[in-house]
Parts: sequence; C-alpha cells; structure tokens
Amino acid sequence: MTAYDRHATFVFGSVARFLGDREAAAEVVQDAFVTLWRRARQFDARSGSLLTWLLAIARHRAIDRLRAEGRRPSRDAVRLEALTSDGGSSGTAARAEMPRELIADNDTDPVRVASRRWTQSVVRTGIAELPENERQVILLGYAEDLSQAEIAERLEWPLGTVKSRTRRAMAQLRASLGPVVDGKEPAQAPTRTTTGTFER
Amino acid sequence: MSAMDHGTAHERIEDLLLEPARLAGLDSSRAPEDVALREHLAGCPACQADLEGWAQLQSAVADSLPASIAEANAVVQPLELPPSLRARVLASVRPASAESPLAPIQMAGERRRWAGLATPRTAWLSLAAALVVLVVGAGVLIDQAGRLTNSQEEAQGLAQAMAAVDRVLAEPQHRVVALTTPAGGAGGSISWTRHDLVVLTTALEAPKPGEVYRCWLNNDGTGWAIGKMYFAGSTAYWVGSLDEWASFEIGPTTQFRVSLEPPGADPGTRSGPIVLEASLAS
Repeated sequence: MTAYDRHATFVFGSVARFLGDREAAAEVVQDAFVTLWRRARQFDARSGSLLTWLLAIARHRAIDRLRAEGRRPSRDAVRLEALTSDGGSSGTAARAEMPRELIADNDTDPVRVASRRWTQSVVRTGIAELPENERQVILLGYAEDLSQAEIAERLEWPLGTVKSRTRRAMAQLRASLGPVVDGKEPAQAPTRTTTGTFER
Repeated sequence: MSAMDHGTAHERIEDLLLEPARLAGLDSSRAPEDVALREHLAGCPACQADLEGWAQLQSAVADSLPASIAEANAVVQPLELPPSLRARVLASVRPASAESPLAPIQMAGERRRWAGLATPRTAWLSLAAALVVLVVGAGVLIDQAGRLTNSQEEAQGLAQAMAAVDRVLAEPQHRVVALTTPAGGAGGSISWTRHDLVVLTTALEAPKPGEVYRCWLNNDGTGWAIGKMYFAGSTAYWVGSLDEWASFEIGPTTQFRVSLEPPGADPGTRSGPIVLEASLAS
C-alpha cells in the first residue's frame, strides 16, 4: 500500500475536482488502484512515473463514468462534500463548499472540454499539494498577475525568499505535472476490470 | 556552439520562470542575456525542449486559476481523502491478488476440517458456495453477453466477499453478530476481527434506481460513513478492513447500521431510514 499512501491524495484530488463528486471520485480511485495492482507487471518506469500511470488510469475511468452518466465535467457550481464525521440523521457534516469553477471557453467538443478540464483539475491538485507559502506565491503570480517584487511587498517577505519559493514551487509542479501538461501522459487505457463491487 | 553554456542557459530560464510574462516575452526581448539565450536555444534541442516544457507548465497553471485571488484560493484548497477509502482499496486488492477470482471459494470447499465446528461457519460457507454456484451457473446459461458479463461480475464480487469471510473465520479472535431489522427480524450477519469486517444479508431488496444502501459505524452518537452495500443476486454484502482505520476503535457501544438513502442524498449524512443494524459488542 505504499503506492496508495504516496499517491492516493493526489489522484483523489484530481478526480474529485474533475467529477465534482467525492463519492464517485472515491470509486474511481479505488478502481484505479485495483487496476494498478492487477497490472503492476505492465508498469514501465521508463515511460513515466507511477503517479503519471495512476493518473492516466484514473482519467480514463473518470471519463468513462461521465460518458456512462451522459454528462460533461460540471460547468456549474461544484459542491464537494467532505466525508461526514457523524453518521446520525441529525448530525453535522464537515463540508467543504467549493466555489464556482467555470470552464473559460465555449468549446462544444466534449473530448476537448474533458481533456482541458482534466488538466485543470490535475494542475489545481498539484498547486493544492504545495506547501502553503509556495502556494501563495503561485496564486499571487498567476491569479493576480503580480510581479515578484509586488508579491514580496504584499507578503512582506524578502524578494529573494519570494524568488526561491517560486522556483521551488515551479520545480515541484514540473515534477508532478510534467507529463500531464506536456501531452506525454501515457496513452494506455487498461482493459476495464471490475473490483468485484458494484451496485444494482 | 553558442557562447552561452547549458548551466547559464538554465539559470536564465529559471529567472524567466519567475513571472509568466517574462518567459512569454523572451522572443522579443533585446536584453543581452535573452539574446544569448535565444542563440543557445537555436543550437541546443535539449534546452529548447526544457524551455517548452516550462512554457507549457506556465500556460497550464495560468489556465487553471481563476483571475480572482479568492476564487483561485478556493479551487486549490487541499481535499482530504475519505477515511474509509484506504480500507476499501485494501479490501479490493486482497482478493484481486488471487490467481482466479473464484479461488477462495474453491479453497473453501477444501476446508473440510471446519465441517464439524460451529454451525455458523458451515452455514456461511454452504451459503457462499451455493450462491456462487447459482450465480455462475446462471451466468453460463444466459446467452446475452451483457447479462453474462453482469453475472460474472456478480460472481466475482461475491467471491471476494467470501474470501473475506474466509479470512475472518480463520482468525481465532473472530466475532459473528446478527443483523436485525427495525421490527426485530433476522437480517443477516456481520463477521469481524480486528482486521476485517464482512456484512452479508439476504434481507434487503435491490434498491430502486438512484437509491443506495449506505453503511455506518456509530460510537456514542458519533458515526462514520463507511461505504455502501453491493449486490450479487439477492445477496447484499459489504467488506472492509478495520486495522487500517487508525482513528476508529470498536467499543462496547459500537453499532453497525445500514440505511436506505434516497436518490441524490448526501453520501456523508444519513437521511434515509435505518433498515438493518447490529451491535458489534453483542
């Protein structure tokens, strides 16, 4: 289960953002790890990292799921429910209310929409996985379009600190997201397998 | 060979990476170091590919973040894994590691030494064998490919549940408790050890489209959603691994419950009626 401990959070975050449904995402992640387990002998480290392979499996599973449900990745408000800490009928659920996530273009090709949406989901997850202070410089640089000097002023950090954190953040993102954003993600789509668990 | 070496080129690329506009402006920049970098890139495919990789990353990051810092902050908040997911994955890969999905059932038939032991074991194994034979047998006879596939999947799922029953019953410290309906009727059984928990019942009707039977563990009013019941024929089951749940201890008041949730219900909060329950301490 080392692979699970190392990569499950990243894969789950990507799928949950893509589908907008935590329960469905959990099922996709479960399916992806079972597929990984069954097809471990097919893994070739020369063709990419284990995370890249898992993400490729999860992506196919998630798109299959959308296709089966006849819907696109959610364009409207996405509500991601945190798993409850109370199973009682009147219990309070710990919830993470996610804001509107909009696809910025008017593309009508569902394949391109899904592809772009997947990349966005993985990139957002990559940024979410960064340490807080590195995440901050990325958000200010890319969402607010601030220069390094402006970020330093805003956060009251030395300019050198801002630069080193930005460099570290970009290197981390390149390491985890490289194959997803540069189109070199493994094209393999393992034959659909079942986990032996399904519902009627 | 250009005047700028690889090391200097990479340092310059790293500088350009600090701000999206700087990398985008490389082609038109007249700064001497940018001119030198362009010359180096023209004769160095490796550095060119590296730069393209960075440019694609910058583009993807820019495309993934809303323009408002508040919205951007919200979409990159870390998402926690469902606590039960690890156990679910573990429960799935354990049986999946067998050579054949039906291997555990074949093994069950060989465990004759259990024949004279406690009746619940015999009953469960007989039930398991009968159900699998029934499901597989039915699947072979059905000539429609979709239905055959479905039957095979059901057999595989049930076989995995039976494999978990095998593991539980093989543990000296296993426990078996009865599930009951709200009216007090018999509703199946739960077998568990500190490692695994397996629920089997034939008391549930298949849910209507959109409905789902959800499973809960409750301790003194605090509960955890742990998944949903799966069906194979008329048998519903749930399999999980308890030793992976560092945050949950089965205590004297722990109850296992199954509720019938309506379509669209929040998977984390019970809103439907309890249809089965059992005290794990009984």
